[in-house]
Amino acid sequence: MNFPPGIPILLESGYTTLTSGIIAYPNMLRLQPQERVPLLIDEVRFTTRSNSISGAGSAIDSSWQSRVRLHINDYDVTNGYIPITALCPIQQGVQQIKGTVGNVAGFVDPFYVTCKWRLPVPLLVPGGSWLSAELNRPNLTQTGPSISVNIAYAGRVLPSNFKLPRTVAVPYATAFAPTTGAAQYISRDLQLGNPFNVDLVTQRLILKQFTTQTFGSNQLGMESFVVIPDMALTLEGSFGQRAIVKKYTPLLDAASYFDRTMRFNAVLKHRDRFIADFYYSGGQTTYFPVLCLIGHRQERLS
Amino acid sequence: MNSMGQSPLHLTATCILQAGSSGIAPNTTALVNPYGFPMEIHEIKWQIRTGDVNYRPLGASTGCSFTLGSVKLTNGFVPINLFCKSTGMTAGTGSNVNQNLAAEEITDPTANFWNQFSWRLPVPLYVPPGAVLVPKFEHRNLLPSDLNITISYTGTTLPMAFRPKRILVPWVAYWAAKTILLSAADSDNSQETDLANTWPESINIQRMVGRTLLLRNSSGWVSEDGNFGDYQSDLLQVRIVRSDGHHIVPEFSRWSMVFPHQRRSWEMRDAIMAPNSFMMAFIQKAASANAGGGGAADQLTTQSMMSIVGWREVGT
Repeated sequence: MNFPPGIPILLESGYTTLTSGIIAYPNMLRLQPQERVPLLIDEVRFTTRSNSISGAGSAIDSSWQSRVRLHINDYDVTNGYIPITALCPIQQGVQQIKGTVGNVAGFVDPFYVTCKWRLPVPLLVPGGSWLSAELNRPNLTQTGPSISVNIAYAGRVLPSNFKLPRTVAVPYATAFAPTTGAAQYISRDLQLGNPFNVDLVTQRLILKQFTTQTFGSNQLGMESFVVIPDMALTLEGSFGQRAIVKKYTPLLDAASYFDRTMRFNAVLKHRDRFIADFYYSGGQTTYFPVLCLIGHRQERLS
Repeated sequence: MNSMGQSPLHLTATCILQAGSSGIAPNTTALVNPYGFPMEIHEIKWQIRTGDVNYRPLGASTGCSFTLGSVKLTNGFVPINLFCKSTGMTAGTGSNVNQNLAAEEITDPTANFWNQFSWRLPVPLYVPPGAVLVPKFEHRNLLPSDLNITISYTGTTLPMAFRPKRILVPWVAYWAAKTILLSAADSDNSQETDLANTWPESINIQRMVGRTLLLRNSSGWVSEDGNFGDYQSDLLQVRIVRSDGHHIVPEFSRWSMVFPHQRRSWEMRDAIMAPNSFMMAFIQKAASANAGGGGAADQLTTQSMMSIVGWREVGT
């Protein structure tokens, strides 16, 4: 729908610290307007930071190990906790900025990441409600130091007399994000599908790859494009079975190298889903893919 | 505006901007539609060269103002990098992968450092027959060297009888904070006349741009968002309020969250700024553990700059 012009606003939580295996909440008081006015959120921005860069395995990929769950009232914006890196395409060929730990050719330095998720549709947050963010860090065997996560919402404040529509478009992101290395991965169930009773309009898939390997004196779990898996992608559901990526195709051919994104507009009915099949030739088992399906659906305001 | 599928047109003018000079215009006759027809401008491009290997010009080295007849498009001389979002950062090589995010910088072995910027206008700018959008430049004294400036307009010619139904004019206002020692904690705020909409019409905001410079005064070396142990824009926090009391950035927030690193720009859609209003920006910077090395003369300073880029409808 068309919204009236609004006043720009940026709400930042400040840093929240994540240790292994915990759930943490950013300062939600800072993530909602002080006045109880309707808010349109255009972007969700993140900074993730590994809090130590010295010692073996300490320079972890802060954006992969930090996961976020976003929801507004009863409406899920993400399907549970999703790696922050999976929500955000690469821009300008880089995602992290500060590289004091040095680099290994072919890997992205993992220490300090800034990225943003431009929502597929602006998210209307009625006055008095808020987009709730929860952070999680999985309990992995290779833990590393604590991570700090900063989250911000950029959008517009609408006039207080704005009449709420009956239904609103709600973004949705759902990911297939294994955490251990294997030679083959197949997504399952609705990890990349539509669990809602309404249509899901897709915007894009984000595809990245990470490694469990350590490099140099201290780097661990970096995004990698040294060994790229072949990927096949199938759409299953109300229209039968349809191959999207027919043959095993290198990951970064299926997705653009420059932003790690495959764009497409499709309408997924209830329980329609993509099945992704990754295969590492040569039996490589130290890499794993991360896929995220992004779209939106219409929901009735409760 | 319906441009009626007319012929594309590209116009270019150049000038040399001597150190300390201000109000310098290029050969503006080169920027007039040579066919005598009206035109509309879609994009403005700049190229800045120093001709001296020691200096990186960046967009901040040069201020630019625009007038079309009696209509001003800028609130004074706006640093060129504050018109544009960043689109061509270089990622460096070797141990500097992803560190050296010098925006829009190109190194040419024969012409030393040069930078190129492109501003896709938020709305096409109608230019009547015979009229010209006059650019003027200011050397902002960040570097001691002269600057070679090239400016280009890209657009289309229009039929002689064409008159737009609505006159839409871009507007850019900016604020540059004081320079602050990288090793020091300090704060600053803008004035009412800086980030201002001085017009009786609302401004439709296209973007807000935020850049941070790193300066080494002893050598005239200038960089953007350099990596010196503490990433400078993470040390910097900003809060922005409107003149009517509404908050744009209610709490002091990290610069890089307001103006994301990769684009240096907060791209907006359907955001407005009220007539005859202004924004006040407040910054506070934490001290960096790294002063930049060397003696006192080599100490690094940092300067933060931000702008409002948008458009208004004239005569509504």
